[in-house]
Parts: sequence; C-alpha cells; structure tokens
Amino acid sequence: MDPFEDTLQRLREAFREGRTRSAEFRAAQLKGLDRFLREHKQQLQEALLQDLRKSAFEAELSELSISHAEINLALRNLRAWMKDEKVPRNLATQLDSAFVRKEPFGVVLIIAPWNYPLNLILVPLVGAIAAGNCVMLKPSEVSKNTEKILVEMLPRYLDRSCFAVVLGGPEETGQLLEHKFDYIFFTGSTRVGKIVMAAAAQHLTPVTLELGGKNPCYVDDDCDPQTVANRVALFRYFNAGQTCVAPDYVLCSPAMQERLVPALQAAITRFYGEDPRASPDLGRIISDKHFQRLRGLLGCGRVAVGGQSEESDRYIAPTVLVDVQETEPVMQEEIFGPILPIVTVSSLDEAVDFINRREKPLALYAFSRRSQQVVKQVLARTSSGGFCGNDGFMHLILASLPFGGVGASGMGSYHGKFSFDTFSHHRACLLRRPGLEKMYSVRYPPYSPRSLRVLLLAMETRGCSCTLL
Amino acid sequence: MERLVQRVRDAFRSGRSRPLSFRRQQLEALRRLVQERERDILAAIAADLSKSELNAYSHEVITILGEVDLVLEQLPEWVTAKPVKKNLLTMMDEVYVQPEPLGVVLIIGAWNYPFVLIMQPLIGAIAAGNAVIIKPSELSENTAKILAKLLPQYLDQDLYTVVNGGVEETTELLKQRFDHILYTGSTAVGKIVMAAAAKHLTPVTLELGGKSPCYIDRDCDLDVACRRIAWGKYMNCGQTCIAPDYILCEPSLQSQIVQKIKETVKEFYGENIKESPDYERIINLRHFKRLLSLLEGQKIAFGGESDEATRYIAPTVLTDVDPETKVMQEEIFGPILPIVPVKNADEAIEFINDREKPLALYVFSRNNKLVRRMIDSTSSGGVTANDVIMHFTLSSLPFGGVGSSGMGAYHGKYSFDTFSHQRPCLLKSLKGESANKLRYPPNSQSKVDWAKFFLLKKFSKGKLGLLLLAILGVVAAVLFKVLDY
Repeated sequence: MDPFEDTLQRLREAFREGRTRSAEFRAAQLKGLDRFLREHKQQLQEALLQDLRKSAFEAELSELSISHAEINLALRNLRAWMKDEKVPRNLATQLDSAFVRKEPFGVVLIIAPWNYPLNLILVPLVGAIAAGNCVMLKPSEVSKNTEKILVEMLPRYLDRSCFAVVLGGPEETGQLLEHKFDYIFFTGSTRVGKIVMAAAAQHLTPVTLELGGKNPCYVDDDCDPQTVANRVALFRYFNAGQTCVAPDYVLCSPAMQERLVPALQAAITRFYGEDPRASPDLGRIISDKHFQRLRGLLGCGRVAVGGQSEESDRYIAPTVLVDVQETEPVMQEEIFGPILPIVTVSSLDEAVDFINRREKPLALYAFSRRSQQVVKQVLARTSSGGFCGNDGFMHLILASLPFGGVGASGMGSYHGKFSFDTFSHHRACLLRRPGLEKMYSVRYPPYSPRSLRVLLLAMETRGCSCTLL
Repeated sequence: MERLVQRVRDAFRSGRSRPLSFRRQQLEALRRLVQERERDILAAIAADLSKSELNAYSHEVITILGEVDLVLEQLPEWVTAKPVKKNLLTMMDEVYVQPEPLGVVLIIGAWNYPFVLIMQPLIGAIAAGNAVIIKPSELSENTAKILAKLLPQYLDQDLYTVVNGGVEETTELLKQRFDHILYTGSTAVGKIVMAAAAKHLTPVTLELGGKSPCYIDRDCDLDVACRRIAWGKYMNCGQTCIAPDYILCEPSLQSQIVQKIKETVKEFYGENIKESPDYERIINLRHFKRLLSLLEGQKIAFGGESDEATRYIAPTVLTDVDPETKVMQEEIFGPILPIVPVKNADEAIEFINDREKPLALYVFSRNNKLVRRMIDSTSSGGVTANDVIMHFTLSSLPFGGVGSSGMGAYHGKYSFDTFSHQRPCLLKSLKGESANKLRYPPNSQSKVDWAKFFLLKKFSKGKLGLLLLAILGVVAAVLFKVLDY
C-alpha cells in the first residue's frame, strides 16, 4: 500500500484547479506560516532543545529569526517577483511583447535534514509557496521532536488541499521518491543526494541539492590569532559542529598552529567555560549513531584541546586535533561535529593545491590581514559553493546572496529571491501581431540572396561577409 | 575515454581558459571559423539534411553569428562580480557574487540542426571560461566530421575536443565525470543522460521535445495564421523541436485551414514540391518509415506522397484526427500536420493540460484576452502568440523546456549563467573584533534581543539612520564588554 499516492493526487488536483495561483492565496499561506512560528515558538524551542540541546540563542538566530526574515522578505516582494519580466527586443520583434513569465512548477517535494530542522524546511517552503506551487514536506525523522510539531501543527496553518507534511524513514523516503514530482528540493548528504537525483532522473524532475563537504579554513601567518580563533571557534562549535557550512578543518603553517591552538583554547573557555559540558550554550550530538562516529574520530592525530566525550547525553567537548594526516578518517569524511583538525602546510600554494585536490566544498574560508595578497588569492584559485574572508558563515544570513553548492557540494541555490526563482519555471513569451505580414514574408520560401540580406538586417547580424550574398 | 576527459580536465586546471582575453580570443576564432569555412559548413549541413545552402545559412549560421557578436559585446560585463544589497551586519564588508567557470562541460548535439545545436552552447561554455567536450550527433555524419576537422584548426586543441561516435562511444563518455552536461535530443535519452549525471552529481541542461500544440481561434486572420504555421511546420521537413506539432481548432475551421495551408505550400515550394531546392528530406530510413506509419488510418486532406529512395515525404495535413491514434502519441518530427477538432478554447486548454508539458505553445487569435488566458491556463517551455518558432530567435529570452520537454535554459546570457557557478563572496576585515562580542557565547536574553534587532531590521532609509544604528551596535558591544568585567 502506497501511503503517498492519495495525498499526492490531492495536491496535484488542487494545483491543476489553480488554487495556488493568486498572490492573495500565496500571501495568506505565508502569513499562516508566520503565525505558526509565533504561536508555537515555545514548543519549537523546547523541541529543538530536546533534539539538539539547541540553546534559545542559537534557536532564535539560526532557526526562528531567519525563517521570519525570509517570510517577511517574500511577503514584501511577492508581487514584484511575480511580475512578468520584460526583455529587450531586436529589430524583428520591435513591435512585439516579449517577456519572461514566472510560473510554478506544480507539486514540489522538500526533503529536510535534522541539523536545522526548522530553518531547512521552512525557508525552502517560503520560496515554493511564493512561487505558487503545492508542496509536500518531508521533515527529518531523526530530529523527532521537531518533526512531531511540524506534522501535527504546521498543516493547521496552511491550506491542506495544497500542502502536506509526510512522515517516514529512509525506506518511506525511497517510496516517496518513486513518485513523480515537478520539483525536488533536497538538503542532506552527498551520498543521498545522488540517490535523489537518480530517482528524479526517472521522471525528468529538476532538482536543487544542498549537500555538504569538508569546508577548508586557511589561516595565514599574518593575522591576529585570537581574533581568528574566536571567529573559527564560534562557527565550528555552533550547533555542536553540526552545520553544513561550518569550517571543517584548518590549513596553516606549523608556526601558526603553535599560536592558534592556545588561542582556540582561550576562545573555547571564554565561550563555554572551564567545563563546556555545563554550558547551556553548547549543543549535543543528534543521535547515538553520530555520537559513536564522532567519538571514533577523536583518535585521529593528537588532541590539543578538549577530547572528552560522554555517552549518556551524547556530549563531545569542543576539540582541536593537531598532527593530523590527510589519510586519517577525520580528513576523509565531513566531520559534522565539534572537532577541528589542523593540517599544516608550508605555503599558500600548498594550501591551494590541497584544497583543489579535493571535492569542491560548500564553503571556503581564508583568514589574513593581507586581503589582496592572501584572501583574494585563495578566492581566485579555488572553487566552492560560497566564500567568506576573515569570518565564518556570515554569507548565509544575507538573503541577497544565493546559497548553494557546486560539484559534490550541490547544485542550484536559494534564499530570498533565489528561492522564488528556483521554484519557478521561467517561460519565454513572445506575443506577436497578426498584421504586418508583408514584413515577415521575407522569411518564406522560395529563398533568394535578397531575402537573406533583409533577414540579416532584421536580426541585426553585423559585419556579415556571407558568401551567399 | 577516461584519458581524453582527463587531458581536457588538466587543460582546464592550467587556468588557461579563464582570463577574459583568452575567452574573447577563442570566440573571435570561432567567428572566423564560421565565416572563413562557410562553404564547407553549409555543404556538410546540406548533405546531411538535403537542405539548400541558403536555408542552412538562415537556419543555422545566422544564429551563431548573432550569438557570438552578442557575447563578445557583453562578456566584459557578464564576467564582473556583482555587488549585492548588504544588511547592518555586513555594512562595512565587500559583498558580491562572482561568476566562475564550472570546469569541463559536455555538449551533446542533435542531428536536426547539427551545427547550431553544438555551436550555440559552445559559445556560452567558452564565454563562461570552461573547457568543453563536444559530441555531435552521429546521424548528421557530415556535420560531425566537419566539426571534428575544423574546431581544432581554430580553437585551443587541449581545451576543446570533439568526440565522434555512436551509442557505444556516447555511453562510455557518459560514464565519465563532467561539471555540466548540456544535452539536446529526445525525452527518452534525456532520462539516460540525467541518470548518468546523477552518479557524479553533475548538473544538467536538457533540451528535449514533446508535442507543441497550436491553437487557432475563430477570431484570427486565418490567411496569416496558416502561412506562418506552414512556414514553421515544414521548415527542415518538420524536423524542428519547436515546430507546431498539431493544430487544435473548432471543426468549422478545418476545411479553411486545409485550403489555406495547401495554397501556402504551393506558394513556398511550387507545383512540384520534390523539385524545390527549399524543401528538405527526412534524415534517415528509420525515421522515414516511422513517419509513414503515422499516416495509417488517417484522413489525408492533402499530401501523403512519399519516395523512399530520396526519403521524401510531401507536406501533409490530416483532418479529424483521433487523439488516441499513433500520430498523436509521439512527437511527430516530420512534415505531417494533424488537426484535432475541439469545441472551444476551454476544451483546447484541457486537452493540452491532460498531456505532458510541451517545449512550445502556439496560439493564434486577434483576441488578446484569449491569448493571455491560453498562456495563463497552460504551461510550456516557451510561447509564441500569432506566430511560430520566433521566441527561439530572441536571445534575451531563455530557451528551454519544462517537465518532460526539459530543464534549464540557454541562449545569450542564459548560456553564460548556465555554464557558470555564481559564487557568493563576503570579505570582512580582521578588525572591529569588539563589535563581534554580541554574537559570542555565553549568551543571554538581551543578546538574543539584540540579535533579532540586527537580523530583522530592514536597511533603514537615510545614511544618518544607518550611522546611528551602527554606533548603537558598537556601544552595545562595548557595554557588554564592560558588563562582563
């Protein structure tokens, strides 16, 4: 028995009837979403605390405020985004109406992960709604408590004929992916990204894949170690390291490593106190499986800071590893935890080569006082989804920047207007007049060099030395 | 195949294809190729599709010259980083989006417009700074050969390589890893390409096909409509992905439409169509036989003649076509034009929406409201109203499909964007660390409130307001520092 067919059918019919088309409808849904966040704020914070031991600060910053900001942006700009976009015409189409029409795709599937379970399901949803689609949401079953609220409460704030929240683990998700959707938006691992795209290929469904990778963080010798340590530590240990754009590992010279390690220790102590486990600001690992995985990584290299772990509450101390070899497990997979390995390199060139030998990451970081020589160099000689110089993932919070990966870290992007564009089909429209047929007859057979000359003129093809003429 | 792709990848890694001057140089060389070797190119196309050289020129070469000129003119603007709107927290920073090449691009061409369907994407891929592997369709043999011969003579041989071959070679090629694949062809093969791309997480642009409907309203200039439809339908002997595939109209219009198209065909190709230099032939025997089978059991209003020896099929119109018959089940891609009678525009809309989204939608009517309604109530890759094909020719419009007619788009700047990664960049300075105190743990409710303020507050009008807020931010940070001690 396929649990999804009926729901999908309902969504398809609602879309076909045109229910999601009007700006009023879309705005109403977005407002409903906003109300959901306000009215269930406490429950959501509670759920995030239970799932990830996410502090109120982190929840506010990385889940609630961001979602509100996206909703507000969409509400403010909805009509402008929906407008037909006029395009420049050439001589032949001078009297015509030429524009790009933004149309919804139809029924969109959004699959979200567990690390920012609210943000990563709602922000894409905002774009999909704004673009006029019907949406099936598949929150992560791993962040159980948040999933529960999304399944039970969220549908009450949206038109249920057009939006549905479904449950399931890997097996159910596999079943879900056998169905035909008009767009699939997936946030998760590279491994599953391939499965999603392969499933989408069966139906020629376009996709946006927000995946991951190992985000390198190059630290130049010319910098203030404490400032760098503060910034790197903040973004590494935020959400207990379970962030797709967190700095994954540091590349620096041995001399820099000597200065960085004590600075990182100082930052960690300042942020989380002498006993980080007692700090309310440090999260926990989502599941036993990931806890065990991360605990295993603590054996790589040498522990310079932290290294403690406690199974009962899935606690892993903010850790810095040194003397790490490229071949060790901690350098083979995306860490996704509060462990920061430092790999030493002898020069900027070596760092760039190291980075370019590997898969394109989702984010890339470079720290240096010498902006032109170092930061811009690293930027110019590498590729990554996004880049931030002298800070962590601040580029995420600006809705005017597209957020997405490249290569193994993903394809497509979203946030702000980019979300709206992602979930819209850009339809080329040319409306001509039935008259003026004499003008167009130059294109009809029988052909002659003369008609060709006129055609070339109309299409504004310059400097043509066509031998046929 | 692996070594070939590796060589191209190494060439890309050398960084040679990135500087603007290099890209311009290659594009200018491409332009020279088209101009200097025009004769050879036209001869190849003509041989593949039994097309007159004039037709080959206007169908393919014009578009390429227009495209390369546009790109050469606009490229300096396209490659520059675009600064974006900042917020309070990033006010002092450099924030922009930088277009970057993806790496090694694979372009797979089709046989119906064998030259332009390789060259137009190639122009975009080069403009975006990539290395390119080109796989022309083996069915248009002569063009495939000429591309393999000419491209290395004008372009950098390591960065841009032509690979020829059939299904076997293409399958081998698809096993390799690329940074983008642009494929033009059938829906069935489109799925295979995307499935192969999924293994490497390669983004794809698929220019596929479908049955492009053409609705003729009773309130329209039928003479003009029929002439334009006939032009778009029978050009290249119907072998055009955006040709009007079938007509939808009220039953009373059928006989008039038939008559007018018949007259137009005579006007275009003369009494003896077979002798007209402007009428092409079917690409091969397999398609020829396929097309003839579509005529079985149909009411042929005119046309229907064929000659296997030359793969000639006359411009044909079918009337009272049953939607369940074969001719309405697959993309025709030939000079057969079925007319399916419908009661009215509503029925036409439902008919169209019951089927896969087509690559193009055509509607002929004097009534603007009706035209808008048809567009609003349906979906398709693109639309031309009161004409056919023409939306393809405006490079400021994206050319691509939706649903089973494809994904992604190209032409003009859309090509450049398709083959680029738009990389967001935020450059801060290491100074001003004290202002950052707000965001570091240990956290407190007041910090939460301040965070909300900075995140949710709009960029207020007036620089003075901004300055005030910035000062407030620093003051708050300093206060926190003081309070800590």
